[in-house]
Amino acid sequence: MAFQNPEAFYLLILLFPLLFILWKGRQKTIQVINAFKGEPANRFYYVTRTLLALILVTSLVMITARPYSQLKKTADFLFLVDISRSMQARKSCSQASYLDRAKLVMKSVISDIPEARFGIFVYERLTFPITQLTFDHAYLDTVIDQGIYDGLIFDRTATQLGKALSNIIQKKQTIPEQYENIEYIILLTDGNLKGDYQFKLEETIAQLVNHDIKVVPVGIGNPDPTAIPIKEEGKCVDKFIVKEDQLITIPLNSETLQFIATSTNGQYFGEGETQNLVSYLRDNALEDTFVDSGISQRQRNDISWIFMVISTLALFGYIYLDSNLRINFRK
Amino acid sequence: MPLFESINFVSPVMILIVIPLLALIILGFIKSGQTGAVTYTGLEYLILKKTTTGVNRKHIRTMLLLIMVVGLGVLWANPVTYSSNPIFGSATQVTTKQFVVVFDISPSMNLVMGEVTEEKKRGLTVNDEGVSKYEVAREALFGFLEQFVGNSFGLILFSTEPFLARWPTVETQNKFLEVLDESLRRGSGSQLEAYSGLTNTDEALLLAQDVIQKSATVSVKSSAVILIADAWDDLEAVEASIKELRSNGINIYIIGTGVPEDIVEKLTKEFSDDNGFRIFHVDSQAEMAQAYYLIASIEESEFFAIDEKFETNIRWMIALFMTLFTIVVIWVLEIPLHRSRSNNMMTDRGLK
Repeated sequence: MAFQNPEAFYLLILLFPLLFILWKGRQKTIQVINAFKGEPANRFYYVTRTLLALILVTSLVMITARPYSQLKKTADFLFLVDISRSMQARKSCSQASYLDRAKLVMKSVISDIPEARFGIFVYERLTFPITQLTFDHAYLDTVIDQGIYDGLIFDRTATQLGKALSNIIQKKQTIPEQYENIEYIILLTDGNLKGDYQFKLEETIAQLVNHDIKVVPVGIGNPDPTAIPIKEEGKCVDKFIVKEDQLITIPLNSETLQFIATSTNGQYFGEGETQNLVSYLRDNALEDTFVDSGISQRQRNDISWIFMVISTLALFGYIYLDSNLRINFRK
Repeated sequence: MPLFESINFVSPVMILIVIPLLALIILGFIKSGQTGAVTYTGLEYLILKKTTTGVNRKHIRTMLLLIMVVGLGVLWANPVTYSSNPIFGSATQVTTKQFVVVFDISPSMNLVMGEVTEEKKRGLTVNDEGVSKYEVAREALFGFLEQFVGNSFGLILFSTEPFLARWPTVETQNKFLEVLDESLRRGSGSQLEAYSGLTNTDEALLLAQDVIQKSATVSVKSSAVILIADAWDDLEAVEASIKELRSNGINIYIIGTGVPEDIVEKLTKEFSDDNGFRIFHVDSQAEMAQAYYLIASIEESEFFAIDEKFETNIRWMIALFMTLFTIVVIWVLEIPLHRSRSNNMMTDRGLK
């Protein structure tokens, strides 16, 4: 816990006059009760009342000091999202496409690791970053909802995962002020790579290992072959893409993704294992950050509410003890 | 001039938390003296014969406690003020302009500024000499981003098709370098070069309009599109797109790096009565900088300047007031309006 207005602690000096006032009030009570031959309340009553007043004033001072918590751990993660045509696969237009399902995974991960900074890259034949690395998770949610769609980049076929990963390595080298902390790439794809993918990815995987970047693939898709619906005037219709009289179907290729994960010292997850993915990232990637780093400053959480709860309870207790509703505190 | 113009509460519902305290005060007010509290409130009262009666004292005590509880409720509701200037150094700007920069990355943007040869028109040669239009426009854009820090910027790159490279964001400190750092030059092997193809200006403008309409929030008071292009294939389609954007109140500034003079004149004449449209013919780095300067001047002019509004959270100030007020209230309750308590012997009707 830290404070934005630490000067406010000078106000704690007011606790001394407060103690004096309470002592003076007690003296008056004793005088009156003795005069009227009454039975004074016990010591516990006065101690409790004094404590409640002290707690009330102290917690108000704490709120004035603007307390905040600073997350001590953070990490930078990049999502690499396949937006090629195959990610439009689904069994019918009423179902979510593979891309829609990838979006759900992304939003879930972002929501479950609030202390991390995320960036989003999309790829098909080409690769582009579509967000900066940011702690603004509401912004990321908006981009996921509005800024990732079918046809975002012109070429939707000939997916080039190897080039996409190489592009990120290149960014890490050319723009270190942004990407130097990237150690984990969360890859969201159906895993459909044509040809000898092991050979094609060999060089990229070597580069990734060299730069200590681990790929954490999340397999998006159905295990059974799933067709891609046609769009007519921008709307999905329940007709499917056919090429040379053959229905084009896209199964989830988890074998490829497991190979990529293993080769880069990452780990493969299914799309239903988001919680395991979050735990994995938390356990392996989050690292201590410096208190005054730009990263942690942006992650300040106002925790005044803790002291507001305390002051509310203290005021409640003080009013109760001051009211005619209180129980007797017999000696 | 007032310190702030308006006040709002972030969590007004949270004020309900103090209801039990209010109930306690009201119950205590109604039920008097049952546990020994007396309306005769001490020797001083009797000796000095102060004029404040027991009933008035009770009202004043209750009133002070109610004010404290209301103050606590305000703390829970989390008040914020809105002002035209930042106050207490902790204000955040809440109204912004929104710009969507629509950047032509067709091969012809590789030409050196001012150079319009048939040979290089389609970017078929490598330009190692001089600085290309793309690079000049990019550098000028960086300066513009610095000038409008705190405002929202989106980025659309277009060639054969438009590509939404950045949803509007106020985080422009990196100047979109993640995308624009790449070279467009032939042979660079960059993603931008690979994307570079034809020129689909009208679609790019319509995408900008779509993004603005989807992203504009209450805090966005004015939106503008800055189109940086060197030529377009279908003037009629571009004109139609411009009219559509203008009909939706979106300002358009076109920085034409090599757009023929007759087109510039035609569009200037057509939109001569429209303050929200400008086209600049640019043939040099200086003219490019001048165009951005003029755009900035127009956007900051009385026609389109937004009323800057700053939000300041004042919960800590209320807490500061409450701290001092609580001390005063306790003093009043304990000394001038002192009420002694006994466990027996007395009721509000007097001695048993």
